Amino acid sequence: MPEPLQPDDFALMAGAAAGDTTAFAALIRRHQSALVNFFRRLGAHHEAEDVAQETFLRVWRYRTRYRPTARFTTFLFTLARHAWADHLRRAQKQERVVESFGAEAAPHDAVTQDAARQRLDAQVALAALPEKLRLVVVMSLYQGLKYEDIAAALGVPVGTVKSRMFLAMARLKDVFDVEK
Amino acid sequence: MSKNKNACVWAEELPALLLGELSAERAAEVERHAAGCAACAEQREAFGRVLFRMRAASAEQPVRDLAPDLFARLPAAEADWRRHNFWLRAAALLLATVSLGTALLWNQHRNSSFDLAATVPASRISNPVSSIPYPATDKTASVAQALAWLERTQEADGHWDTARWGAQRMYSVGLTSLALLALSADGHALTTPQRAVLARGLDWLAAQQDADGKLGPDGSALMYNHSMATLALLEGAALETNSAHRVACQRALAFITSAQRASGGWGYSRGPSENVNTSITVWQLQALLRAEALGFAEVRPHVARGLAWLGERVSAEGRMGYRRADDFPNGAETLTAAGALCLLRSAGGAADLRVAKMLAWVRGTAAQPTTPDYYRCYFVSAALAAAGGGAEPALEKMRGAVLARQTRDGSEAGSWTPGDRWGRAGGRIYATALAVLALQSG
Repeated sequence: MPEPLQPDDFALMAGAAAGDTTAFAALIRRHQSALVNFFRRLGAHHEAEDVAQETFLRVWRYRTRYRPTARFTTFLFTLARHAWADHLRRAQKQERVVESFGAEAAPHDAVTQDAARQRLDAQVALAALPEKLRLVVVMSLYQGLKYEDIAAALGVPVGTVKSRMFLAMARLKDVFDVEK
Repeated sequence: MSKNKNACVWAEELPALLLGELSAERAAEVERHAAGCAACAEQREAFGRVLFRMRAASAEQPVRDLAPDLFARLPAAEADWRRHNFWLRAAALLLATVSLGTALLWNQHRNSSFDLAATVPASRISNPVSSIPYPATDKTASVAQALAWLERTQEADGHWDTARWGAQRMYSVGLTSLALLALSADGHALTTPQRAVLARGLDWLAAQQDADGKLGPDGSALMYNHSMATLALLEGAALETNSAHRVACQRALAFITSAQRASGGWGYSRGPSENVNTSITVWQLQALLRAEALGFAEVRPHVARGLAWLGERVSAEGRMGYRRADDFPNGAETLTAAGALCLLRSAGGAADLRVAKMLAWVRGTAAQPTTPDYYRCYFVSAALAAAGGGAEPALEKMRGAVLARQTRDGSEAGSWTPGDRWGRAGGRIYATALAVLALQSG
């Protein structure tokens, strides 16, 4: 059979489900970098590690509910999405983040355009996207999840993921076009 | 927003195309459309530039180890969860006394708030081998229980259903073959009903063969499906006198020999590419070696070339590489055992110094505690048994671990839960068949 991409996630999760903290620590170390960077790309800064820890705590809490038929990263990013949404709610910052980045990327303001020309890197372009689109882009481009895994993690149909990715690409194209 | 965003109804497919999310057929369809649609061609190029710029910023920043802090937080978090659960239960009880309907709605809300993590009893999730004591279970009784499970789960037409047992449809032929190989492992001890199960399965396999002798659909699973099916047909042919099955064997063997590359190895498909690997080659060689032993003399030159190719992939320490002798992208334990098994079954293999090194390495790794892997258990058991080590401690320990994992009661009694790295591909049929083969090898 084809060689696996993540050969031991299921087994480590099975160990964690049985209370094996060594297996759980191995699972954390395998995925912590991807998870912290995931939250950084969504807009977190110093709090990215806290939200990643919160996600892993949820993995431990729900470890016996994990269904081995689902890809572990789908399970992980489902919990990550919940942890991120809770984090945004707690901090009451979601609207502020969207508004502030939206203002930075507004294409018809000459002053802003000048500023944007200096600072339009991928991170700012990403931050200019609405939360729903940003999640899809980060999960697909940076976390390497397939559309169907993203759909499962977000609880939406695959067609919605496809539409959101298209909208995101169109908006990113416009943001980058400001540089021309 | 781009002025072209709604220029064509196909545009939504473009990001999916660039990200490799479309099937080969759909991708070709979209490519054909884009070739003749100026709006889509422009959009595609623009999206390609966006992806390039976004990916250019994909480098991840280093992250410190979160585990120590997390474990320090765990006791307090668990206390919080217990308190939370207590109040949840109290609230549910209170509501239940007010109204059964309200309580039902509450329960429904709790269950629906977490879609993917639906409850699975902890008993259904397998544990690491190292955490399970080895039981004094009777191997014969365990195998009999497993064969009974296979017997009662066979579909009326002779195959085992992938969807029903948590496996991927692309492996349908291979998994039915593994189930038949498990039944054939001690074929002379089969009961009359079990012989009927075997015959039905072989009939189904033979019916899957196309005009080229190929068993199973084209795709990345082809050569696994085909070699496993050939092996199952050969084992069946050794037990019965069905001439149709013997003809199917000959045609299946011809397909394998025609797929052999000039180098002597095999790859994922029959094409001219020299993209070959040991994982696929060992399965083709297993089929050819068994055929040779059963008197199919025409395969002999192909066996010799295949074994020569395999021998060149053994490292100086006795590990089997994947494409080269120093190539171990996914570990070497399984491939080394599989390679040793093939080399041992060849003439002079038992006296080969490379094989002795490989076996020493396999024994060393087999004795180490590890996570479950029925695929590896099968090859290690088969290799050590083929080397004549029926009572080797490493082999007994590994088989004991396999026995400990068998489901003992309930509707799946006799089977094995697919909790290893191949579980998502092969499901319960794979786990059960390979566990039986691991116990029966030699």
